[in-house]
Amino acid sequence: MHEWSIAEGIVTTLLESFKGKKILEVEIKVGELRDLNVEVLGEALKILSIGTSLEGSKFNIIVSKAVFKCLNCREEWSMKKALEILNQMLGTEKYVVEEGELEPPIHFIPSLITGLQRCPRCGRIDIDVESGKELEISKIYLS
Amino acid sequence: MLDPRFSLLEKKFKNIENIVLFGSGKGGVGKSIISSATSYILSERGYDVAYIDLDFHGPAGQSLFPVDIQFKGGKEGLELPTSNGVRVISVGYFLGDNPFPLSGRDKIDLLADFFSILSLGELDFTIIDLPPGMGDELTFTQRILKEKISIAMVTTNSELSLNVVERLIKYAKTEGLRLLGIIVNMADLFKRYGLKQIEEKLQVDILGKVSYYPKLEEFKTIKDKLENIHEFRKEIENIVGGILKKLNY
Repeated sequence: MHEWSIAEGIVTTLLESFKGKKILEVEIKVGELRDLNVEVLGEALKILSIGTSLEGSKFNIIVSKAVFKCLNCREEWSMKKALEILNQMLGTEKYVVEEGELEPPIHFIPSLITGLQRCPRCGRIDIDVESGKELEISKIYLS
Repeated sequence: MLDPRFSLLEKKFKNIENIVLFGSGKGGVGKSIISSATSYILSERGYDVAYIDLDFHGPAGQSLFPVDIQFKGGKEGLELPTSNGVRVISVGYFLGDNPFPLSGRDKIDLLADFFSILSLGELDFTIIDLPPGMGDELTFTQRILKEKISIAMVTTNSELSLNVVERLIKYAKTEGLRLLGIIVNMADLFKRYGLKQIEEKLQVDILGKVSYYPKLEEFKTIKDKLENIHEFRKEIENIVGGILKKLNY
């Protein structure tokens, strides 16, 4: 669902930021927490570029794995574990319905994850998301 | 590095006018009660209103505007459910009773996520309930929504609260924020100054006052508070009248 909307944001940002310039290649960093389908995002970018100065540009999408870190004991954990913790802390009653499916609220607001984690080792809640939240146009190659 | 959320966000708010922030210098002065009550009365008068709770650490939206349906997401993002006529959103709906620690960097990220994912549709008024002070919630909102916003400030009639809100007024004036005026809450509790004196001291119009009603505690939702305490309702109606006048309605 998000992919088209995000693609629209990327295309608009590029067209507004590089008016009158030809972009050959764009690198986009997407964190695992963004829960985006890279194929759908790539396709949406291609289609939305048609008829603009971005038509024919190469979109290189890089997905970064989510890494959660406890700021107390330095334990690190992955997205899979984070989702388990989220379900323990919240249950599914706070989930959001999207096209008949139940999605955790972080599907819409990824940054909420910071408040919905507990260190699996020491139990503290002062945690950091070291990577996995990215959504950025990280590199541009102009002709 | 460019963040595509900002162009999404600009698009979402392109046709949204009349965004009124409720801010304060100190906490506990009644921003949430007054901003939610203002939202409710505006909606009752037939306007399409959204209430956005930006107090991430101490959200109150979920208590004042209870929602008994599951939230829905669609192509335009996260839909705002309606509670007693007002379209509402708060992180409190998603957090349960979990505490929500958030560093400054994460807060900016959350603000960008939050504003870029909301499906707002058509609105006459958007009421934003800020946390106290001049943190990222105020500065970020001001940066992205620019001239669309105006601010009403809530204070009690105590020396401490008035002194701190004075700083916020200076900020608003320096930054060119449209200042609607001051709302003096619990006006009869801390009788430090008369309303005229406050107006002169702060050099800002008084939008209205709200008295101290211990009975407010007996009712959980803003609808129940307004429907059961008639004097409170009357004072909020005066404030709403003042806001509408300032916004040329």
